[in-house]
Amino acid sequence: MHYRNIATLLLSAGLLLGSVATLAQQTTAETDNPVLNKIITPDLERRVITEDQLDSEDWEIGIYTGVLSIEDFGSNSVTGVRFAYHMTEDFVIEFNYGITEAKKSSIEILGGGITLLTDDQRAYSYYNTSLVYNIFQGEVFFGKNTAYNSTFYILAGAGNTTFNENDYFTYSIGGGLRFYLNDFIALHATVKDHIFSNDIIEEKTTNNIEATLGISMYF
Amino acid sequence: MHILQPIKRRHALFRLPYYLRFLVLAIILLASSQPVFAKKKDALQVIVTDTFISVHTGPGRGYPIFHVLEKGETITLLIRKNDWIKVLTRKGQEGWVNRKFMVDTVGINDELVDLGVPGPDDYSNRQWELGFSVGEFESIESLGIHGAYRMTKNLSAELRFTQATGRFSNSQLISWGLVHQPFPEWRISPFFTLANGQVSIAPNSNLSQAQDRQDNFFMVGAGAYYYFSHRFMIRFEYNSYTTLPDRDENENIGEWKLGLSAFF
Repeated sequence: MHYRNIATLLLSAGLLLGSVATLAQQTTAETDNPVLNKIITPDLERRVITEDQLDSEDWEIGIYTGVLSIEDFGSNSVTGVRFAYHMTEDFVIEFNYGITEAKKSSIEILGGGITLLTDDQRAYSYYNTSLVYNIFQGEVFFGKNTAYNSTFYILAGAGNTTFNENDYFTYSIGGGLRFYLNDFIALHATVKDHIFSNDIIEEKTTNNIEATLGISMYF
Repeated sequence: MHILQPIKRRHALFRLPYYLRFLVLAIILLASSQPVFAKKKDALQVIVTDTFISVHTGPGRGYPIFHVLEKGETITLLIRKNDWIKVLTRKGQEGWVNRKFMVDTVGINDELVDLGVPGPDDYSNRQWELGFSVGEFESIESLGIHGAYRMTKNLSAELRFTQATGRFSNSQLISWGLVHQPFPEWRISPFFTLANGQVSIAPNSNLSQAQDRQDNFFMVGAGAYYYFSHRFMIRFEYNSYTTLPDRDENENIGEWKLGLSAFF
């Protein structure tokens, strides 16, 4: 028998065993003495204050703009959106999507009539998911009586870049400063390196550095 | 005789590609199941029952303690930011208290306060799961997202989207299926997956003669969750795909994934 068939068979057997085990557990739970349970459990239940009754500010949505330097193809303005979930005070999961456009490479400027990319191929967009670590949390002071919370963060992630009408698997690393205006609004200053391999000029790994400023809302 | 056939116009939803249609349906289902913006909440007031609770200037362990709540003091809970709760004292001071100290409080109407850090109980009662993963799909680096709803103790319905971007082609996979966890309350919980879906493979543009293609597939997989803290699980899995192309022979593709999931 082909080993894949065996694997499928084993999986099915596992599923079946699991189902039987669960059924057995449920049966035991139901046969617990119902009369005794009724006597011991009081009719009036104490009300409970739960997490759902309190507004949480764990989700973040924001926009940013800045400069993205595409290796060999100049620097251009970039615009993006940020969507993040603050898991703990230390860790954040962040999703980004940004768009820009490649300029002419030095070869095209100096080479007299050489064109490496068509206009459509110059469209550049990326998305990525990063794990963010708030490394230096603190306060910044403005005058004598005002303090704002802030944190420096570092991040690493993976995603996809669409450029030259192709998709490239992209790693990203970076860091930044998050500055809280209040509990609901924060400002970002972020620097990120998008690393991916392409063969537009020659087969090589490119570093594409992005520096942005952004504003975010918490909800 | 020339017969005028009425042109059958299908609704726009049914003219979308297969996977987009599924996405639209999923969004409608999600949107209708829970109100996105909950109604305005009443002020929550609790009484401190322990000897004291420290109040920090910001939502983090490093922020300085500027105030101490005493036993018997009534405080108003304002908002929560991950593990920290912003409180308002009788004297009008605002500050942050770690949620683990909420076990030392009781509601002003004698309610129990269940605002501690989510733990094993929440893990056992998890219903929704949302996560992302990185991995290799046929030795090509891949990135994926997945969402699941636990229908019974052991069985979840799952939707996942994966993109594998290689040097020669770009594959996008969407799949839906069932995940079975025989021991869902175990800290390391093994699971088995049965799913089907669709893969679209687009060759890189410099290989101009190659054609885009779409295949349906069937997938079996196995893996395990590891619950580490709060609402988070690490998830590792291996999946085996059998694509069902138009050509004579089926194709087998292996995939492994390492991911991070949050449950709600």
